[in-house]
Amino acid sequence: MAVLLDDRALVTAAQGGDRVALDELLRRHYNRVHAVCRRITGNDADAADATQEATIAMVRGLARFDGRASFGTWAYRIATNASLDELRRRRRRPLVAGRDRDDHAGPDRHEIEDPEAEQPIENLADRYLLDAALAALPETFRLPVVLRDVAGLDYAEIAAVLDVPIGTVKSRIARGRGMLAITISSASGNHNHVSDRPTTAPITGSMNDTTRHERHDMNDTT
Amino acid sequence: MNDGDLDPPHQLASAYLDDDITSAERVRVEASPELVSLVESFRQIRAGLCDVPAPSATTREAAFAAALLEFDGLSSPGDAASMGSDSAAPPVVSLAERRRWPIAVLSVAAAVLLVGVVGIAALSGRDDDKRSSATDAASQQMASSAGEAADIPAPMSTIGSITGAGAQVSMQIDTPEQLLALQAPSDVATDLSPEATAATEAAAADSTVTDQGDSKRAASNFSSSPAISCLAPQQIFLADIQYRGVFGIAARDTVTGVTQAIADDCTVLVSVGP
Repeated sequence: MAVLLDDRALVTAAQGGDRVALDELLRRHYNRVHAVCRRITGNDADAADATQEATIAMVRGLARFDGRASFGTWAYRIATNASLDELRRRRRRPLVAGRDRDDHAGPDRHEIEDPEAEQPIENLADRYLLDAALAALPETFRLPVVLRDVAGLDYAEIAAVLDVPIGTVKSRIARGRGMLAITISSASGNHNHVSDRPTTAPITGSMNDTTRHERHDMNDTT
Repeated sequence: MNDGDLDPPHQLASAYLDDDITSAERVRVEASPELVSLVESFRQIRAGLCDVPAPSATTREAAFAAALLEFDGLSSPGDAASMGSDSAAPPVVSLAERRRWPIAVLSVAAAVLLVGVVGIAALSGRDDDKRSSATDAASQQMASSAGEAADIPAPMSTIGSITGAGAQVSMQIDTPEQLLALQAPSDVATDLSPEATAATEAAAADSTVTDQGDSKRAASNFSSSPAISCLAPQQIFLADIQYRGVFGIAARDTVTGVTQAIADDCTVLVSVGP
């Protein structure tokens, strides 16, 4: 009975008032929207708030969505803005979820805490390291890296979302990845893991990085 | 340091990971153990970034519910144009439209019920005492009924109650298939015309009318959901439900066989054909 419709058809139906189509559309993109929010805000609580705000913003802006960009690109732009707004509301840089905090109720948490499962514990440490490194990354670099590696947008789409040239996107992604690799490598003591030549700026963000958000107009879909 | 002031190995490795390099650059990366290692570390970072713990189902459903609530607000008649709606049959039915017919039906049913009570009382009065007027008999009957009602214990449940023993329990429905599989209770299927609903509601409002048995039967027949007032004349009530977390009722069109999940605010959540 179920017929899988593509995003474009669902968008058209939802714009025509089809509640079920809208529900399907939101569910289809929810996980990745949440992942984008989670990586930008740095913790589960803020990510949940930002994701909910993003889904509401999608509904509000759906009538103005003209389909020039894919729905995903449009949705991730909204998710990015919602995450930045969430950080701005709290006037802070991304928080890193602590090891002891139960920030999510996902079933994988229990697997990770299994004392007999050594590898998952290492993964938890890695996850914490990555969270910390990403939180320390200035927003200028964090956003394009998240949009590329988490949302899966291409350079052109990221350039449209962030309203910067494609060349700038490429270089910021490369630098962001480089900073993350160096930070993680240094923190884990594995200096042979990646090149650790001091070729990038120190990963120290001031509060100005947080308050000086680039606001990207969610109504502009190009 | 500006954006272009970048270490070439990082730039090359990043471009390699994104498959955004020339064939010559690709050969150069693959020939260098350091660059290959850097690409691998970038790949691990990407995998780590994508490894995001899933939010709880509660968080997830709350987001959908909030978004759909917003959608319902935007879909009200005044804002229909803003949604760009030009489809022939939008499934979201306005609350005002849904509630127009029950008000009229309720009014007629209440009037019919009043006439019926007076008539029965009049006939009963003639049997008991030929000299009494119909009006007197009706008054006596109503007073008698009121006295009996005061003597008997209150029904376990009342229409609209959510706390009585007979209160309806919402059934969790998450898919159209589950909705379609619902069957109408036999008494509801035969007796839940809108007129019957209205008549019973009017009767329930008049404490002098129904005896205990009738009251219990009526209460068990009907939903505790406000969505019961949203039923169209040809629809029958199936069950109190929560459709994907939204409270409402399931109803089936006796003409077309279409089953609908209807929210408490009369919004049609989903329609499923047979």
